[in-house]
Amino acid sequence: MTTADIYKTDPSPVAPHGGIMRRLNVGTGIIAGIVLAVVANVLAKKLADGHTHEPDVRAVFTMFGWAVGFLLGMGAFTGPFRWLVGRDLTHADELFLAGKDQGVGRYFRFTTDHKVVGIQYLVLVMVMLGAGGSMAMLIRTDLISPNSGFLGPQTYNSLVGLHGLTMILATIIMVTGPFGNFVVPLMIGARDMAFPRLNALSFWLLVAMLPILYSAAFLGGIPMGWVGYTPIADQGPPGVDAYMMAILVFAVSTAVAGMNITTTIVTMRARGMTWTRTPIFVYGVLASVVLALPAFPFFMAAELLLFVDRVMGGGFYVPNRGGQPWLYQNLFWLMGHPEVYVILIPAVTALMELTAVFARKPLFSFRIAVLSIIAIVGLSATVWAHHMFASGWAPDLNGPFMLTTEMISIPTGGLFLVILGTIWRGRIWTAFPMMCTYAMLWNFIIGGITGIYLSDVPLDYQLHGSMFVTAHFHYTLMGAGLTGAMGALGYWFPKMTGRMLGNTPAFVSFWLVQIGFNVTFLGMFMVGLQGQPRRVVHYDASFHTGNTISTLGAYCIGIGMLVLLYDVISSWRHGDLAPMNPWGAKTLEWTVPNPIPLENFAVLPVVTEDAYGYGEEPVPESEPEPVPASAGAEADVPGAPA
Amino acid sequence: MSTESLVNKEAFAPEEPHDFGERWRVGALLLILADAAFVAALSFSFLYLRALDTQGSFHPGGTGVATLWWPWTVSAVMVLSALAYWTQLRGSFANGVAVSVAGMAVALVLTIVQMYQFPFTVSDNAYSAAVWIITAANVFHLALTVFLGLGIAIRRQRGANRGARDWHVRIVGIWYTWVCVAAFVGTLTISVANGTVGCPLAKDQPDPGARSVPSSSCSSSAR
Ligand SMILES: [Cu+2]
Repeated sequence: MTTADIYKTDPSPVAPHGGIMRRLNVGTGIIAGIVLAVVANVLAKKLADGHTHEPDVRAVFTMFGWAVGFLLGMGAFTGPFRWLVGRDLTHADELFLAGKDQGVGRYFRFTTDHKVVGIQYLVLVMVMLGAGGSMAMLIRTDLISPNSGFLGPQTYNSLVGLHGLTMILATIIMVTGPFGNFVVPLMIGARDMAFPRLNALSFWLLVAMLPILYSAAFLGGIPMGWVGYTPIADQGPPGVDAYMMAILVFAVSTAVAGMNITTTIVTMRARGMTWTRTPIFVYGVLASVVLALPAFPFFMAAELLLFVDRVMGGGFYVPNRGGQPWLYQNLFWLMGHPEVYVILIPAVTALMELTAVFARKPLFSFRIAVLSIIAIVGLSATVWAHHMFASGWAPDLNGPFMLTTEMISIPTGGLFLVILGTIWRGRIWTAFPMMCTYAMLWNFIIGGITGIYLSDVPLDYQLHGSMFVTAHFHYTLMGAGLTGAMGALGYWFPKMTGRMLGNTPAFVSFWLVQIGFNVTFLGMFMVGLQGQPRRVVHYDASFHTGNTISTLGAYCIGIGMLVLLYDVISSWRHGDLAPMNPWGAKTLEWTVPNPIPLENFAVLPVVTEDAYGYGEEPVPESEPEPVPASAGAEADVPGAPA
Repeated sequence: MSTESLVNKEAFAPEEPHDFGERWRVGALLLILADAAFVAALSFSFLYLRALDTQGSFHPGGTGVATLWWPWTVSAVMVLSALAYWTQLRGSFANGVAVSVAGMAVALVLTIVQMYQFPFTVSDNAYSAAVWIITAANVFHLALTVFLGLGIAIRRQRGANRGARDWHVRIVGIWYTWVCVAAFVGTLTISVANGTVGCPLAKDQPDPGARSVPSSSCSSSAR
């Protein structure tokens, strides 16, 4: 009697079905997507011929056709269809979907193995960051002098919007996507995610989204910036349809991924892994997706109302038909502010996780860390209107929103103290991931403190819409968030790829990026305080110096990022083979061999203590085989460059 | 590596069918939470626009208002369908699932017909657009419900709901209950907004135009 008999999960005793399913991959997806897009376009032309909204109708039909066709061609609907007709996927089908014995091909299929999906996310995030970063370089090049004429005003506007949206979407998924998928199931001692097929779906939805998003560049651009504010969004070219459809697809992906990760963490932790023994990074990922789960539907609703406005002539945001742009702003920021913490919490907790390892100390005050995360999640739903102080919406509420915003800096400070307390008197191993912790502390202090300025209503009236705001949120999302993700990459790279990340290029990249970053955005604070507005292609000559400094700093970031990219690619291909546990860490993901077997754990682990029992036994630094690439970094430098 | 017996996600001992079922239910409840946030956002948008009545144009008159008995009827059909479903699960109604699928399909058709019968077009004003989108959301919910109910009916027929998969039946039941709640919230929102369109604004604001649809909830003296 096999386990399948016991659980009666395999209702079909005959030979496995799904011959077609086995032939589907990203190629068939693209073909089906293009076919359905063309069909939908022709259909839309018939439907809306000569109508005022014809370009928009055709645009959204085509994009919808593409997305549905692509997923159909990928095989995303095979499972639901088989469920409907009562012929559930067989054991052999599940094995195939998990990517068993498929080599590299499984990365181009609807593969359900969480390790495959994690790597897919990592590559996708790098592609998006590369695209957004290239746009940033173009923007900064244009701003090198007051009237450079490098980009036209329309192109500049669209680039700023697309850069912003690309980066926001990439940073939302940059930790929970690659590491939440690859690392979390290992970390909690599970064999896969709770819903493996939905896991694949959440990834391929994003792949379907990208062409939609970037089609905006060929459809007149998005003139309203990444926030998509109405009424410009109501009046904009079909590029806005691309924005809208991309968000709708992204929101579905977020909901599916959030529900999947949450279920996995809540119900699949190893035996004995009580909440007090759950690693802090797992909390961080959980908080992020739990926050996104109810927040993103508000953005989705906002875009759906925009859909009705643009495609069907509705009046949700059109004042002379009883609509109201404030409605958009409220719906948008009800998602928009929680989203800041959706980005930050997992990045910061990844750094907490590795700080404990590299300081060889238990995480300082685990409880404060957890309580701070919970407080941030709760409070972040109460602060959204601090983005609307200058909009004239509910002036009486400015005071309360100022208060809640300032209050949220208290638990955020709690996270700082936890990291500082962990570093304090630790025996610090200053490897590349640990350097990212230092950089995050420095950058996040600047980003956080300037955020308190901006939450102050009178000061916000002065600074609103200026480059000061741009510098502020780059310090939080990039200086803290992206730096955290880079630390996480350095830390988990050996487990994800089986090879060590080259140390010297990582350090070169680190200093180039961090120095470039601070030069860029301190320069931007300067011109912002002097009054340079955001999103304006030409600026007054008095801001010239600050902008030139910013641009030179940005080039420095760009070069540093290219060095990191080179490091990642070359280490991935022929870096030194990583031992099972190169950092001597105590969490479960380091107990599985490289390469990780399909089922992760031969025997599911049982947890008897928390993951931070450092200092209670001889330091295990010498335990793992010394790895040449990181050997130079093992110098003990307590209290190094903070 | 002999992963053959281990790789089937549900053959991973030592988990019981019960564990899978609970897990699936948690997932379904979380998706319902996200959907609830979406329904709340639509409802909020409708009532917020009504409360602001920007430029007196939320429903300035000249076009009709949606009849209320229609969405309430649809809601009632949905509730009865969900009841039929749950009674079969409790074992006291042999064809409950089939009846419930038929009921939800009827509700779906009724809602689509309702959308064709609106005495306004979606582009008339904020009111018409809001009624339209709330009704459209119900169409989406109902289509999904019919899909799920049909699946359960077919799977019962084929005996596919065995082992852990018996939980699918209960989880779809939870979805049935949720779509009823969502329909109720939508219908209530339309009713509240309907009850106030046509009411004059504050006295110091100019009347933006003839209000063709005086509402019963407006006091006649205020008019
Ligand atoms: Cu905010």
